[in-house]
Amino acid sequence: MNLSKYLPLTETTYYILVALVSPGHGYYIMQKVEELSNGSVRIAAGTMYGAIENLLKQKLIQSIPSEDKRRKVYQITEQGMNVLNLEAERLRHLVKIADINGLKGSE
Amino acid sequence: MRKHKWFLVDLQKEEKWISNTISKGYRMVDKGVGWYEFESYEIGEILPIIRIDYRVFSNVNKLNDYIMLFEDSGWKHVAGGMNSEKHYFEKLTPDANEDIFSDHRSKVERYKRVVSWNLFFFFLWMICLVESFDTLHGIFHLNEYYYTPGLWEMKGTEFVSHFLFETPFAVGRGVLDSISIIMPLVTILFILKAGYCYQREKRAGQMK
Repeated sequence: MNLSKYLPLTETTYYILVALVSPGHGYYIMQKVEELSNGSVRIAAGTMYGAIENLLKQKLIQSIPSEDKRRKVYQITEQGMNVLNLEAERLRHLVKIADINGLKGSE
Repeated sequence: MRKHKWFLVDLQKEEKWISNTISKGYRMVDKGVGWYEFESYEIGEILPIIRIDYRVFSNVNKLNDYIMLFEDSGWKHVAGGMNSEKHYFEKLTPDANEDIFSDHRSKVERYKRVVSWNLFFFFLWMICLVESFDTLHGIFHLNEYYYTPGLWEMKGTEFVSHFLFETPFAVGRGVLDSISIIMPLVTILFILKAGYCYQREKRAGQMK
């Protein structure tokens, strides 16, 4: 299975997949992504719903049974984890070559 | 206060019209086919803003989950159900620019859904059209919609009674055939308009 067709991930997708390493419903994802990104990435409800539909189609996330009858709960799939790992590797390499070539962070 | 207005495919235009009405001191509370219900509302720092999403749901659980997501994030579902493609959400906020879409692409993709839903209907109507193909020319020769054998050779009261009896059925057949021509054309018009709106919104986003 060639997963590289899913790469590179958009920043928003990356955040969503990381958020769904633990299961949660749609609003949980919105809050978690805002937290993970220190407030810089805020996904609105309409955008969120579309993103979830797309990720379900791509089988990067799945719906899991939930006690909450009114809210569907999602979690990352094994395929999603593999894609996420590949992407993290790609990003680590990019950061590494930035460091090696003297590109300093803005801290 | 009920306002009668038709908006078909141009979601942007519809949102603008609703915002305009709201700015005059109203809040949207309901919607039906061809009408909007508004209530008086005193606008202060907080504005009631309405945004529209276009989505079709195959079952009521999916719809409820969708509505819940919006409600959790502060958007109240004002109108739209299993039978409607448009869903109207309201938020009370001081920020007039708040939206149910946080990126331009997902907002523009509303029109893609308009196109695919209408495409589906186009194919359904085409099937109807093919089914009624044999009888279509009756629209130009209305007498062909009368199936009573020997009707046109009858005379006097015999003719009149048979003719009047069958007329409602003949009219019904004519109407059905007309619909099966008109509806595919209507869906094509919707698709073209949605395509135009999609391009317009896409370009507007690129200019920012």
